[in-house]
Amino acid sequence: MKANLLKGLSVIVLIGLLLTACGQATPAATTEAAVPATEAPVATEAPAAVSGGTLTVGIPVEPETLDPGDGVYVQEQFIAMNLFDSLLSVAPDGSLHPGLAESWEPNAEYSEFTFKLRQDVTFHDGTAFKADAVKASFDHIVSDAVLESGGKSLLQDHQYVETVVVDDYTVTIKFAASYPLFLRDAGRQWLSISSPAALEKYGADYGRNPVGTGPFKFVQWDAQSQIVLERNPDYNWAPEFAAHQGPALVDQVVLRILPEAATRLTAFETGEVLIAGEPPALDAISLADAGTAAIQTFAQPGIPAILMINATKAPTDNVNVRKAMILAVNQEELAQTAFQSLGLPAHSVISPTTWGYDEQSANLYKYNPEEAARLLEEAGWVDSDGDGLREKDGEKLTIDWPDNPAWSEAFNELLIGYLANVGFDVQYRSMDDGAAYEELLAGNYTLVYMYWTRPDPTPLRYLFHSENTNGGGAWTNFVNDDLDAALADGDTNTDENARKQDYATAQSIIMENALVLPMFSVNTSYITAPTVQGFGFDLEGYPVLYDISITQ
Amino acid sequence: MFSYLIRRLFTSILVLFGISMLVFSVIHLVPGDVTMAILGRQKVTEEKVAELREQLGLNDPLYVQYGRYLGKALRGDLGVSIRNNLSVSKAISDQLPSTFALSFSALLVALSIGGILGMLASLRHGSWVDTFVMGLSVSGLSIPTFWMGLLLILFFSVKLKLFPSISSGSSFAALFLPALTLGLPEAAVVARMVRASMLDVLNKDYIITARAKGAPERLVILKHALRNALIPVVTFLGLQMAYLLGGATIVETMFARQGIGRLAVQSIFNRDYPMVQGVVLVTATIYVLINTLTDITYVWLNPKIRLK
Repeated sequence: MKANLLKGLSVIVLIGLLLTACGQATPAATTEAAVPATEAPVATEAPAAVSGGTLTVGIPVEPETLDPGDGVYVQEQFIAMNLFDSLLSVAPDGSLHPGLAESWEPNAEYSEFTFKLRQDVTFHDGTAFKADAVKASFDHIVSDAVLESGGKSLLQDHQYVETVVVDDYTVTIKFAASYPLFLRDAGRQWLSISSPAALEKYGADYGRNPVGTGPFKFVQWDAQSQIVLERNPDYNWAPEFAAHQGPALVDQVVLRILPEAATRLTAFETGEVLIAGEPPALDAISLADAGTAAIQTFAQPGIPAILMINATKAPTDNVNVRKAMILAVNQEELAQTAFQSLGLPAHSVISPTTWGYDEQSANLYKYNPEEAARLLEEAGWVDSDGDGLREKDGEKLTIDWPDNPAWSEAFNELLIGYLANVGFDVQYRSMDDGAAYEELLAGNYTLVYMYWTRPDPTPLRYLFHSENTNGGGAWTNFVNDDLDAALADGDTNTDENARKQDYATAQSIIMENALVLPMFSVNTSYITAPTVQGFGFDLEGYPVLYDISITQ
Repeated sequence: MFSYLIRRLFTSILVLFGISMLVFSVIHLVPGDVTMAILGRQKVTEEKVAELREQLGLNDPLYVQYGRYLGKALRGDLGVSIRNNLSVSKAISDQLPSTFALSFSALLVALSIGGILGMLASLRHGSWVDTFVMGLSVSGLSIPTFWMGLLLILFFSVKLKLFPSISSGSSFAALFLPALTLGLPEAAVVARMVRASMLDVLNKDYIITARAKGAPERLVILKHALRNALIPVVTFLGLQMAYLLGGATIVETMFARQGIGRLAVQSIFNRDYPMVQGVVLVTATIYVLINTLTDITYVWLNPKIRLK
C-alpha cells in the first residue's frame, strides 16, 4: 500500500520535472523581447551594414528622468544622447561640427549666438523641427518645471537671457555675460532639443515620455526593470564625424537596469546583455582573457578622482604638510590595486584628456615618502612617543575625512595606509552623502573626495575660486587673487590661447600650493560581447550606440 | 463574533496609525538633510537650500507635516517622489504585482516541495528517506537566500542556460529561479511541519479506525491524515505570506526584478522621504491585513478562541 503511494508521489514529482523542462521552450534570451521588433531595415543613402537585432545593455543606475534638460546624472546623459540631438556636435577630438544647426555665428562679445537650423529634421512624434523648438527647450530648462539640472546650471551660471526666434529656421540665443564656451556646451546632451508639442502634452511627465530627434525613439520604461528604445527609421542627420550616416544599425536597444555588479556580470555571461557597464575589474579582465568579452575603457576628462585638502584647518593649513600628503601616496600602485590594469593614476587637478591640461603642473610631485617625512619634521611634526604617528605640542597629526564609503571603498584603506606610513593619523568617518555634506558645511573636515567629468577645465572655477568658499564647492578654502583672476578670465575670455594660459596658471597655483591630493583618473568601463561591433566613446566617455551593430 | 470582528478591526487600525506615525518620525531622526540629497554636493548655496526646504514643506512643524501626510494618505495620495516627481502611489502600484507574483509562487514552491517531502518523510518515518529529507531541510534552512540564489543562477542560468538570471514579469521562466530561491527555505520549514503534523495525526484513533474499516491506504493518507495535518501548516503559511513579502527584497535585488522590496531599498538610499513612507505604509498595511484576516479565519474555524 505504502509503496503505491510513493509511486503516486514520484509521478507527481516527475510531472513537476517535465513541466520544468517545458520551461526550456521559453529560453532566457527571448524573454526580454517584450516589445515587438521594429519594421524591416530602411535603405540608407550611404549603405552601411544594417545589422538589425536587439542590443541589450546592462546599466548600473536607473535614470531619474529622460528629459535631457532636467537631467543631472551621467546615466541620464548617456541614454538621452540616443534620443536627442543638440544644436552642434562635438567630435571626440573637440572640434565643432553641425548638429541640428547648419551654421552658427557668435557676436563679438560671445554673448549672443545665432544658429541657422537644418530644414529636413522631424521629431519622433512627427512634428517638424523649427526654431520654436529651440526656444521651447531652452525656456523649459530655465523654467520652474526644472528644479536643478546640468543644463539649468549651464544656462543660469552664464546669465541666460532669452532665445529669440528670428524666423522658422533661425534662432538667436542671448546671454547677459560673455560665454565663449557656449558653442561647446550647445553640443552637450543637457542642452539638446525636445519636441515643443511633447513638452506641452506631457508637462510634468515629460521625463518619462521624452520626444527628440535622435537616432532612437523612446518606447517604454518599466521602472526598476528596463528602458526600451527603437530605431528611428527617418534619422538622416548624424554628425559628419560619425562612423556611418542614416538610421542606427540595430533595430532596438533594451537597457536593463541591473544595479548589482554581480547580477550585471552574470547577465553578461549568460548572454542576456551584450554590453555591461562598470564591470568589476578582476572579472572583466578574466572574461577578456578568456576571449568572451572586450574591455572598453575611457579615462574621463575633467577633474580626476582627487581629495581636496582643507587649507584653513590645522594641520593642513601648512603647505608643507599638504605637500607631504601628496608625496606620501604612490598613485601608480593605488590605481593598480584599486582597479587592476583598468586604473590610470592621476598627478594633477585635471586629467590628461581634458582641454587645457598642463603637463608641468602634473610633474611637481613624485612618490617619495622620505621627502614627505622630512617636510613633516621640518614643520615640527615628530613621532615623540614611538607609536608611528607624529605629534606636535601634544596635538596629533590628524586628518579628518568624513566620507561616504560608496565612493571610495576601492581605495580608501590603501590611501589611509600610505598616509599612516609617514605618520598621519587618518580619522576616516563613514557616513552617507547628506551627513558628510553637513560636516563639510560645518567645516569639520580635512579631506573631501571629488571628481567631475567635463571636457574642459571649467569646473576648476566652482572648486577653487574664492567666491565659492562658503559651501559653494571650493572646499580647500584657499584664497589667492592670481588664482581667482585666472579662473574668472578662463571662463570668459574669448581668445582660446589666453584661456589656455589662464588654466595653466590655475593648475600650477593649485598644485604648487598642494591643494589637492590627486589619485586616479575616473574611468568609464564597459565589457562587450564578441558579437558587438563598432563600439566607441564620445567626447565625454559615453558609448555611442548609434554606430553599434551586432554580428550573428 | 461580530463584536470580536469590530474589536479586531479597531486594533488593526490603531496599529496602522502607530506605524504611520513611527515611519514618519523615524525618517526625520536620520542624520542628514533631504535637501542635500536633492541638490548634491555641487554648488549649493544657503538660499537654494532654504528655497527648496520651503518648497518641500520641510519648514513646517513635524505635526503639521504629519497631519498633512496622513490626510492625503487616507485619500490614496502618498505624495510625489522627491527624486523624480512621480506619484508615489503609482510607483508602488507599478511594483506591487511583481512582488505579489513572486511571493505567491514562492508560497506554491514552499507548499508543494515542502508538502511532498514532509509527507514522504513521515510515511517512511525512521528510514533513510526520513533522514535524507530532514537533512535536506536543515540545509535549506541554513543556506542564506543570497547564496541559494547564486547557486541556482550558476546552475540554471550560467551552466544550463535554461532560465534568465535577470527576470521581470510573471512568466514561468521569469519566476522560476526567484520563486525557488525565496520558496526553498520556506519549503524546508513546511517539510518539517508536515512531517511532525502527519506523524501526530497518523497515530490518532480515527486513522486506526479508518484503516480498520478497510479504507484504501491512499484514501486514509490523503483524505483523513493529510487534510488534518495541513491545518497548522496552512495557518503558518498565512502568516509566512507577509514574511515572504519582506524576504522578496533580497531576491528582487539578486535577480534585478521589479518589486516593492527593491523600491524600498532604492528610495532609502536616495533619501526619497515620501517614497519610503509610502512603501512602508503600504507594506505594513498588507501585513496587518493578512494578519487580521488570518485571525478572523482562525476564529471562524475555531470558535473556542473567541471566548478568550
